[in-house]
Amino acid sequence: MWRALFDNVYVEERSLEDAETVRILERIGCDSPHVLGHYKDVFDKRNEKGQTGRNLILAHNPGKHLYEGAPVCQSFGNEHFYYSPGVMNCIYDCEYCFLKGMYPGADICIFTDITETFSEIDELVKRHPVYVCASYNTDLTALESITGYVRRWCEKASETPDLSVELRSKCGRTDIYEDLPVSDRAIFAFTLSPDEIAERFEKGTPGLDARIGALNAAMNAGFPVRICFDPMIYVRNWRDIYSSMIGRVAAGVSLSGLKDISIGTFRISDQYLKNMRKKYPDSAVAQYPYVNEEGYYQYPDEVRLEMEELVKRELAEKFPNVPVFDWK
Amino acid sequence: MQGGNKSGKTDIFEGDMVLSETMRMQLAQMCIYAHIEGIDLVEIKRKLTDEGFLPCSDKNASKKALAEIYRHVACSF
Repeated sequence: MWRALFDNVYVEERSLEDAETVRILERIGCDSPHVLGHYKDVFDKRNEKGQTGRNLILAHNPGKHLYEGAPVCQSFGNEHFYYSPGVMNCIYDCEYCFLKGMYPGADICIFTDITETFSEIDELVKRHPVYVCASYNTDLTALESITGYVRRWCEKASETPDLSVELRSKCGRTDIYEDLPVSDRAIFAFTLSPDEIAERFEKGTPGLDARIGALNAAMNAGFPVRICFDPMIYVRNWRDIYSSMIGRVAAGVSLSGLKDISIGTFRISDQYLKNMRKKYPDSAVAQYPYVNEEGYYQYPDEVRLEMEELVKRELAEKFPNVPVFDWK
Repeated sequence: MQGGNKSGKTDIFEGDMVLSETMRMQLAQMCIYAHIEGIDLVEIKRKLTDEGFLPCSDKNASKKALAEIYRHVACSF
């Protein structure tokens, strides 16, 4: 299986005996991975070699297992908001994604010491409730066949009363939710985009109907579901395509299991945008002439407010009583 | 392509504006985006000339023209 997705599979020497490593190698049918000293020996070298493919790396996380959320992240009113870098990089190829500015290539690195992350959470919840975005640097649901980490996070949320977990995804899979341990603190969030945006800027992702199908599958299994219209991308006919998308979503999604809706226009740190502009000279998202506000590039107010207000108006009409969170 | 280009050369507006280095970089980014999106800079230049924004004799007038170019390139609904 792994050859269909990856050029090579690498495992850090210190990760070789991890239960997660053994499980993942079994799942992908790889019995002779390359062994390496540190994940950065491959992960950070991609551009230097001018390679374009993708490797899978299994490693230990040498840094922090939980980070406090950045100012441009939506905290949904949670005071103690963290994200987990448990998997670095994504199987999808979204042109606007901050991961493009953050990581040097397309390699995916899975940290197999997930129990360390859970130990940190156990310490934190002794002090206060904890909210973790577990799918922040990746799309965990799309990688579930490989990692099994969606299940691990659902189990953890289920057994830890003061832990809430958000698993954000664009994945269209509908077959995983029924078998997961249900908890009202395991929130499945789905990023929805107009098909025109997905086709142009979100390479490899399922279309809107497939994402709505997955969202309904999660909802029917009993999980709280969040819809994310975030990031909204400016194109000249944005009004028509976003308005039409909201109509399709309203027709296809039941209000009953919907926890909330998040909206936000594209924004990114200045350093990440600088990297993206170098890497993607032909990308309309990377090359848009953004305004810089306190280190973050975003659309000018006349674009940002117009987009956000239109979507808010449509949501108020079609999703009355569903809380809407705006990133700004 | 209609006036913009991939490297963000601002030739189409050269001679009609008085630009600081920062303004030139802003204009270059607009030209790059216009090129990618197929936005007609020649038409925008014609419109701004008709409306009296171009040509500009000083930096202040150029700032106003730059804001107008930005509006046409990046904020068109």
